[in-house]
Parts: sequence; structure tokens; C-alpha cells
Amino acid sequence: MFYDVVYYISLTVFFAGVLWRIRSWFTRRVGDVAHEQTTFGRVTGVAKSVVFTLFSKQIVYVIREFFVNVMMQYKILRENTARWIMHMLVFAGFLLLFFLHVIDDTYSHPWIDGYFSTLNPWLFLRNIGAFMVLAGLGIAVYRRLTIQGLRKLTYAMDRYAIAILAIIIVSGVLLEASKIVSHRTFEEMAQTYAHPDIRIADWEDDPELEALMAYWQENYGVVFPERIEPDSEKLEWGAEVNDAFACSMCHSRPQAAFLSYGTSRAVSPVANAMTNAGAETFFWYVHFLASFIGLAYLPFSKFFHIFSTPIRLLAKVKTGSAPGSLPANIATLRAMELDACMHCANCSLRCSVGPIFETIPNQAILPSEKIGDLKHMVLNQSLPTEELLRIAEGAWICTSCHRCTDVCPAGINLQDLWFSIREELARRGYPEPYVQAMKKALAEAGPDADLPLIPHSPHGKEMKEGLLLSEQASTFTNCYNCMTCTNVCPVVACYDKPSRELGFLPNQIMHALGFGFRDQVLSSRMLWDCVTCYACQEACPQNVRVTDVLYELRNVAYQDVRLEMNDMAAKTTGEGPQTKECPMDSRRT
Amino acid sequence: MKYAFFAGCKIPYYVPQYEIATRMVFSALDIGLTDVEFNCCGYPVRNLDFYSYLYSAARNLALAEKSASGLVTPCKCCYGSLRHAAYMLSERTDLKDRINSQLAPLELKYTGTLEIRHILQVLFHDVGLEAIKARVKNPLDAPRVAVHYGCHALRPSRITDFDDPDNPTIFDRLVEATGAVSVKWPMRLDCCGNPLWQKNDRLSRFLASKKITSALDAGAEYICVSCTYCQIQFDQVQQAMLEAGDIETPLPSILYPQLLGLSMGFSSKRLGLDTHHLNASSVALPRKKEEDVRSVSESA
Repeated sequence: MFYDVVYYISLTVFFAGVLWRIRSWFTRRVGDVAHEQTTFGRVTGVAKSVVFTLFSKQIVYVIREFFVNVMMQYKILRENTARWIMHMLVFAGFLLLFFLHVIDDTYSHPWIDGYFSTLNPWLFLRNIGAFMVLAGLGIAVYRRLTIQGLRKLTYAMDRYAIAILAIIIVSGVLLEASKIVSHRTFEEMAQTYAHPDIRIADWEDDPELEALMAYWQENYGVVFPERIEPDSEKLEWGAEVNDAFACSMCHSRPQAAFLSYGTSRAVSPVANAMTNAGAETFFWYVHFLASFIGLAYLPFSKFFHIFSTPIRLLAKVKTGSAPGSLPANIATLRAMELDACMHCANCSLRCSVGPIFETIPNQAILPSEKIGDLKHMVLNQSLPTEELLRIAEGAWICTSCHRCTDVCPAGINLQDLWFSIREELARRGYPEPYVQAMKKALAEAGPDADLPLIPHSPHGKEMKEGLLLSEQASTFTNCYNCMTCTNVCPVVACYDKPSRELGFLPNQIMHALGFGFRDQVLSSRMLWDCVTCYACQEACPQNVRVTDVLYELRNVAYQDVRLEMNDMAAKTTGEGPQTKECPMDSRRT
Repeated sequence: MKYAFFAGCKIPYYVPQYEIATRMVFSALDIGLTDVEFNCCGYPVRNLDFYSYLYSAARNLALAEKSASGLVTPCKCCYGSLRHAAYMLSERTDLKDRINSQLAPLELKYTGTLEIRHILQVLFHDVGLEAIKARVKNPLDAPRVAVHYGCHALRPSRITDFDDPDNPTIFDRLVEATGAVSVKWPMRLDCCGNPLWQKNDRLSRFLASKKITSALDAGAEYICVSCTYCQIQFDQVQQAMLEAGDIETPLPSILYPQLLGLSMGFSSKRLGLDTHHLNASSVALPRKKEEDVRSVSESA
């Protein structure tokens, strides 16, 4: 009764969760293309695509993809052999357990001739399955702990995934082991199949029972409250009784269940205490509850990838001018891709700009985390400013090199998702950080920017002394305003009235720096329209590092954006200002 | 010398023909290349955070030091960025120590022994003009080419040490070795405008259009580049500019290894010339003799 209630509840939650996830594939809007599509259009788009694929030669590619990448997981093998072994062990072991064990009563029993869970080879295969999953989990834990970078990217959801599988398998092994040693189970079986009045406590009065018990003690690993002295006569008789009551027809010797049998031998000294304390019941509850929790939570955990990733892989097959390339289907694919990620973090380990995470501790830089940010952003139309600034920083530090897409074992077009992040950010008014820094600097100059006379900026001296990279602070003071830098600047040469368009020109910036005019310098368009061609620096007769100084000034302006972002985040979380988060400060200490 | 090949972020996806052509030419000239999985050179993040740039660059240099004595890149922005980082790390031991301590968990260390080269330097200095000319089996029929030097290799010269910053010649001489004619044009040392792409697109295009006009006025038929970003600017962006009517006459862009490859006898298809946005394949064709041109115009 309890079992059935929990079973149906978890099954209901599971199916509701799956439906909810699938629904989101048609409703989530990722990027500009999705905002032009209706849910109805997306559903019919997929239907068209599926029909087209089924009745064209595309089906050949889909079948090929199924074997190569879903079953054999070539994309994982291509990336890393250890990871492939790990994943194949869990995948194949789990499939074996699923078909031979999880659904055995309902499905395997009628299908497989002579199937009996307590007979070989099923007894043995079940342990093989468990062993494979455990070995795979072992490799997974080892990789997560030892691989630089991967360890940092292991979160609760990854730990949960490993833990729930481990609990299910280990509790299953313990349940089987506690059944092997259980004299209580022996007694119940004897009562059911031999005689309802049998009590193992009466063994001394019943030589036939004694023989059977001796036989099971020696051959099946049962641990009785009192050890029975086996002799060859008793054992021979016991073997006959074993056959006579048909015990042997349903029970292979448990040695084949090598994991459980090994465990049962290890616990045999305390086996009686365990049996008396109800270990079987306990492990039964743990095993079934863990399994049901795993089932109910599956659509909400990263295990959902067992459905979403194969679907994504199969949907990836190029359909050329076919309905697969319809804008509606692109919108659906993108939404589905958000679910197909299993957070293996391979993209982050291979990311071209991944190392920048070491110097700017913003997880949005890393593709494996960025996909979560995108999901977060798609689900929440109103995110706080600091959150959007953080996501924007990550979205634009990306160099669009497409490597993440190339290495993703789930076949997710990650690069395309990053373009859609930029579209989403632009939709909410968050441009790339460079432009963000420029806008902030221009806005902060305020009305003063138009004044012909420049008020002395209070933080000028501090900033001047802060320009440390290369020998910069000591070089711009050498400027004697000869204007060579401005005269060779190709940007200045683009305008008839450059001062009006660009604010301070290069020579004026260098000169103003000497006075420490921070805001005026940062709010000059010139600073932001610099092409970094180094013509000015090359031509300067005073060896002023003009271009390098301009670079560093942009750093200073961007640092303002980051500090503001950190301050806002600190206010939201109620913690103090996290200046440490800003690496541009710490590098000077 | 054996070089680690630094393709940079943009080549594999946006300009794959550049890498293909470079490898073809290098392999024909027996220049050994090693493949290392590098990260971004740091150039794009330099506007935001110098230290992040320096760390990214240094990580690459340390990776390269592990497997080769030199690093060669076809991209001038990567070249400038890596050279600048190497310079900074030699000047500033505090930064070098800090970066090395951050690289230590990765079992990486930058010592400063690495030779950082651009492909043109390797061709000019390691192989040499004479050896290149000896391999030119199929000299081009004097197409008029505007050589675009590229800022980040040329300047700041005391760091990049590429060529004379005021009067550079190696690129012109390499181009002429293929049979092409390097035209004299006033804006050859100016910026292509790409660094401002997505920051100020209007200005970025305007700078490119000035250069294109200048080269066309000097009689150029093609522009020859040897930088990933310059190629993107003069190919992809130029096409967009033509479509938008910013400029009227196209100036197809060709990558130097393609030009050299053609003169060494590789087909324009293998060199990826047909993959450009603006078709530059005609550079390989024999030119019409002046009489033919006259007869065509007369008959018309």
C-alpha cells in the first residue's frame, strides 16, 4: 500500500515534470528569432520537421546519429577516453539494471524466457550492472576531484546526481546482502513453500530442516542465530531437501551476485544483529525511497539529459532547406538546448577565454555556467541591474571562436546561444561592457563636460598615480603638447571638427592627465573611438606611451562599472562591499 | 626552429582558409609546426582589464614554451598582443611572478625564452626571399596589389620589432616575390578600422572605406592582408559596406599565404579563395594583354 502510494506519487511527479520541461521547449523565448514565433507555430514547425525526416532519406542520418552518438557516444569518446569509459559504465550499467531489475515484474518477466530474478544469469547480471554504475560513479568522483577547473565547477546538482545514483545502487547491494544472510527470510520462504508451521528455532527437533539449514548456511550464505555444524551427511541430505522443496529451482547460489555476496560475507559476524534489527526492511525503504525520489526529481535534475540530450542530438541532423531550418524550429531548438546540457563543463575546460575566469571571477565567462545564466534570464523578465551587468560581462568577454560548440558532447550549438544572450541583453538595454563603460563615463561627466573651464577633479591625483602599467604614469608627464599624436591619429583625421566630435584629442588627454582631470578624460569620445593603431605612440618625440595610456584609461572606466556592479550585488545580498571581487584593485596591491 | 602554431580565436570558424593556406605553404617550405590547444591571446579583453589580458597571453606563452622554442601566428593582433605581453613580463618581474604563481597549479611557467613570430617574419627571415622565389613555379601575372601592413605588428615598433615602422618593406618584398606588383599607396600603414567593430561601427566602416578608396585610387586591384581581423574587415565588412552603398567599387582581399600558394602552384580552390565573401580568385588568372583589351573594346 505504502509502496503503491509512493510509486504513483513519484510517477505522477515525474510525468508532470517531463511535460513541464517539454512545454518549455515550445514556450521559452531565447534570442530575437524566438520573439517572432508563436507557440503554435513552433509546435507545427516541429511536427513538419518530424514528418519530413521520417519520410525522407534524413531518417538514415537520424538512425546513424542514434547509433554513433546516442548509443556509442562518440562525441564523448572524441573528447576524453576516461570520461567515455565513465559515462558508458553508468549508461550501460543503468540500462542493464533498468531492463533486468527495475521493470522486471512488469515487463522482463513475460518477455524473457525463464527469467527469474534469483536465478543466474540474472542474479549475476544485476550485480554486473551495479558494479558498472558504481565503477563509473567512482571515475566521475575522481575526475571531479582531481581535474583542475572541473572541481571548481562542481555544484550541488552535480553532487546530487552522483549521490542519488550511489545511494540507489549501494542500498540495493546492501538490501541483497541483508537478504542473503537473513534467517528470517529463510524462515518465511520455508513457511511459504514447505510448511506454514516451520520455525527455524525448532531445528534440533527437525532433522530435515536442520539438513536444509546446514545446506543453506554452507552454500547460500544464510547466517542462523545458532551456527549449525555441517557434516557431509547433513549436507548431502540438505541438497536432496533443497531439490525436493524446489528451492533450487528458484535460487542460484548467491556467489554469482558477487557484490552482494561479498558484502554479506563482510557483515556475517554481525548478520544476526542486523537481521534482528530489521536491516532488510531498512535497506528496502532506503532503496525504494531513493529510487522514487530519483524518479520524481529526474525531470528537475540534470538526469533529464537522458531524454533531452538524445533528442537534441537527433534534432541536430542537418535538414538543409527542409523544415529543420525554419525560424520556428530554431527557436524551439534553442529552448531545448537549455535542457540538453548536463553540466559536464567540457566547454569551460576548453573555452578560449576560460582562463580569464582566473583573473575576473565572474562565472558568466564560462560557457557551462553561462547556459544557466541564459536560462535564468529567459525565465525572469526582470532581473536586477547587477545581475544583467554580470551576465553582459560574460557574454562579451567571449571571442565567438565556436570551440564550445565544437566540443560539446550533447551537440548543443553553444555559440549560437551566446549570440542569443547578446540579443536578450540588447533587448533589455545592456550593451557590451566596452560600450557600457563608455556610456557610464560619458554620463558621469554630466553638464561639466560642456564647460570650457574644467574644474579640478578631486580624485585626480589618486588616478594619476594609479596608472602603473608599463612606465605610463611617468611618461605622460613628459608631454609638451606638440600635438604630434593628434596629427597622426587616423580617427582625428576622420572629422572636420574633431574636438566637437571627440572631446579631448590625444595630446589634450595626455596633458590633462598631468593635472589629474579624471572625469573629463574618461568622458572624451576620443578615448572610446581609439582604434589602438599605436600611430601616436610610435610618433611621439617624448616617448609618451599614448596608446597604452588610453588602454589603461578604458580599464579605469570599466573598473567603475565593475565596482558599481559589486556594490549593487553587495547591497542585494546584504554583505559589505566586495572590493576583492574587483581584480583590477588587487593587482595593484 | 620548430614553431607552435597559434591560430587565434577567429580563424577556425570565420577565416579557416587562412589556416589552411598557411599550413599548405609552410609544409611546402618545410617549416615544422606543432599544434597546441591555446586560449585567447587576450587582445579583446585588454580594453577591459589589462591583467586578464596579460594572464591570457602569458598562459599561451607558457603553453608554447612547453612544446616548442618558437610561436608563430598568422594574426597580427595576436602577434602584437603576445609580443606586448612578453615585453611587459620581461619589464615587470612583479607581474611575471604573480602570473607564474597563478600558472603553477596548471604546471605551467613562463620563462621568457620563447621566440614570438608572425608568419611573414618566418617567411622573410627564416626561409628567405631567394628560397621563396626558388619555389615560385607559377608566378602571378602582375596583379596590382595594395599591401596592407596591419597596425599591431608594426607598432609599437620597439615592442613588436616587425619591420621599420615608418618605411616597412618585408611584406611588399614577399608580395613581389610571387609575381604580383605592390602598388604605392598613401594609407598603407593605417588602421583597417576593425578594432572599433561593434563599438562604433560607423567609424569602423569609415576608416575602412578611406583605405579602400586610397588603394583603388593608387590603381590597386586587390588588397593583400596577413591578419585575421584585417581580413574580416576587408572581406566580410567590405561586402556589407558594398551592400549598404558605403563604397561603390569592391577591392577584394587576399591573404598572403593564398597569394604565395597560388604562385607555388596550389589551386585557388585548395587555398580557399572561393570561400571569401568578395571573390578574389581572379588574382590567379593570366591578365588580358593590352591588345586583347583594345580589341574587345573596339568590337564592343
